[in-house]
Amino acid sequence: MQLLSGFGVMLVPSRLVYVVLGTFMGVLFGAIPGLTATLGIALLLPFTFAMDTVPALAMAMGIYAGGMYGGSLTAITIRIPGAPCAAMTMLDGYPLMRRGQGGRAIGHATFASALGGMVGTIVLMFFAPQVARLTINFRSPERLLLVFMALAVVVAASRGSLLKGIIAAVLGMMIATIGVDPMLPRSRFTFGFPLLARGVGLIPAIIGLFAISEILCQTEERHGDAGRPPWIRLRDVILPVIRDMKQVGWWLYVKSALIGVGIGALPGAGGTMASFLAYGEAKRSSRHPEEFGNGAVEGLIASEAANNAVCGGAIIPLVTLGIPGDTVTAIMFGVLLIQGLIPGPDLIISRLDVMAPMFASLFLAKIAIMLGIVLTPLYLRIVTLREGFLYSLIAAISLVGAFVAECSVFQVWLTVFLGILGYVLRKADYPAVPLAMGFVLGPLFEQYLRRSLSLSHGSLSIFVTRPMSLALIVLTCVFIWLLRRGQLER
Amino acid sequence: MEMERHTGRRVLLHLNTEIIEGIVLLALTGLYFRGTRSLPPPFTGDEPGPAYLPLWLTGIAFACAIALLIKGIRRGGGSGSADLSGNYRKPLVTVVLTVAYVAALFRVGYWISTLAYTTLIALEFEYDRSRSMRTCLYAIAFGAGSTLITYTLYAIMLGIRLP
Repeated sequence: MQLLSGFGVMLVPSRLVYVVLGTFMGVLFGAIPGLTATLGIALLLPFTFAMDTVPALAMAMGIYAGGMYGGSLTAITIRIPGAPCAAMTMLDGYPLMRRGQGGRAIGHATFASALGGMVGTIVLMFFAPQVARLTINFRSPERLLLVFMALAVVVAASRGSLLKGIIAAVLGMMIATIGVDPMLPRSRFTFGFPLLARGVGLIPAIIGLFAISEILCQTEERHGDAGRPPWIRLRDVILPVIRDMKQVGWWLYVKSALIGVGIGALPGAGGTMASFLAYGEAKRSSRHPEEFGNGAVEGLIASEAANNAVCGGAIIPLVTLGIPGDTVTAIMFGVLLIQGLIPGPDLIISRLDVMAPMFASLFLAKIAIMLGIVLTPLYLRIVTLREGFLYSLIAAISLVGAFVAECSVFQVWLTVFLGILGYVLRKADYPAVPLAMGFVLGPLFEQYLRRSLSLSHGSLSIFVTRPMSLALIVLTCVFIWLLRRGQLER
Repeated sequence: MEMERHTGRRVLLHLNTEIIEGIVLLALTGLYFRGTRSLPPPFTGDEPGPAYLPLWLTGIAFACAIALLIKGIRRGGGSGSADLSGNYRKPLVTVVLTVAYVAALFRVGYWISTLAYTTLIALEFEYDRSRSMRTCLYAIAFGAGSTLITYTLYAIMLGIRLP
């Protein structure tokens, strides 16, 4: 109930504006092919230094929520999913568009995204305090195993070679060990560069790995006109949706959202898997499964409700266990750290003054998406912004942001270096998510590992003699087995 | 002839990508291992010191490098798991521009360096559309817009002094 107090904090124009601005930015980042919510939050990082905690988190929530929805706009109108999780939306959205019912498709995508997201946030508000209470008594061995579970599951869930996933995570952890030792006042791995004693900053690392490497990847592709989305009238967006919603029924929204929130809570799963499973379930339970793929409104609703509900699910392990499940929440982890908040079971109990507005912001962002339906024609104009402008702006914001965040020229050089490294790894099919997770979680992993081994006088048996630790090891093995089996079957 | 040359390049890049990756990883691991040797021991004998996790990471990276090499050798020539073909000219130009920008930012200041950098980045993207004077004018306009927006965000809104 105390979490509802967050709405009181957020329903003030001076704070609400950050949610609206974040949602608007998120929709654009999600909609423009090549840009993602991950990139949007990465670019927000340097700004959060100068922002208060609540506005910074509110804006991050807005970008996250908007980014999940934005991908559907271009998926429906020009058959290019702005975000990977909108690929299932495209299957039925684009055929509707070709039949001249683009407005109807966008209307359904918007309402399903908003409703799915709201269900996801309600689940988050209900479950997060329970999970935190359950895990508050976890000590270093259990916390270490939770971090290990996040890393192992993300590696197992990454596409392609398992070996490359492990290498990416290890490289991320190696980069994280550069700088001052977390438990002794001693610098490590400076390789003759005294400035490396400060370590690799979180912002240079995130900006380098996600923004600079993205620019390098984009320059390689041939650019031309992706196609201009057609003009869509507002009444074509709203009226058919109200008509169809009675036929479709509320259960499809709730069911798909619950699938989304469940998948979102699992590390490494994400929106794409959620929309895929919800789409499959909607098709299985539909009276007209043959229409799926040819413009079935139910398929579109299931996909959008599920991938937007993922936001709520993905935040549960982040704020209660301190384990981010994907790149967006890994960067969100950084936003929390910058604001002096350590994600984990203590956070939600001791800092309810910050967590309650954060959850409320996510809910309000979903309402902003629904109300933002009036901006659909504007969104569709903006997504055709020229790449020259977009990427020159991203390049300037990234590099100046890296300097502003650390006030160090050396850290800007590190940003460029990590950008090149990120690009090379992407070209060689090394997944970016384990790399980022290894970097973000590396310091926590080391602290918990060394504290645990100090308790046991160096014996690794501490991880198997405590019942909860043993349960976490078994759970990690089950997750890995399920994920790898799923990967092999696909 | 051109096609043959192109195909030849693709084959060369596909050739033993795993072996190349394995060797690079081995070299990086060696460098990292050298760094662990200068780390101090723990205060007491039975607690892990600063080198504990790095040594584990070295071991895992070393095992992965060997696994990559074995995989590459078993696969033989002419194939690899990663498709490294592509046009690297533009990313290389972007890297050079970015390095030059970072070097210039603290010497000539924000305005000139950022305007030049963003204009050239915009030109790189717009070049594919058409190669005319108009494209250059667009690139200058985009560069000026990006420079101004970045300045507004950091210097005016956040009050941060830029170089």
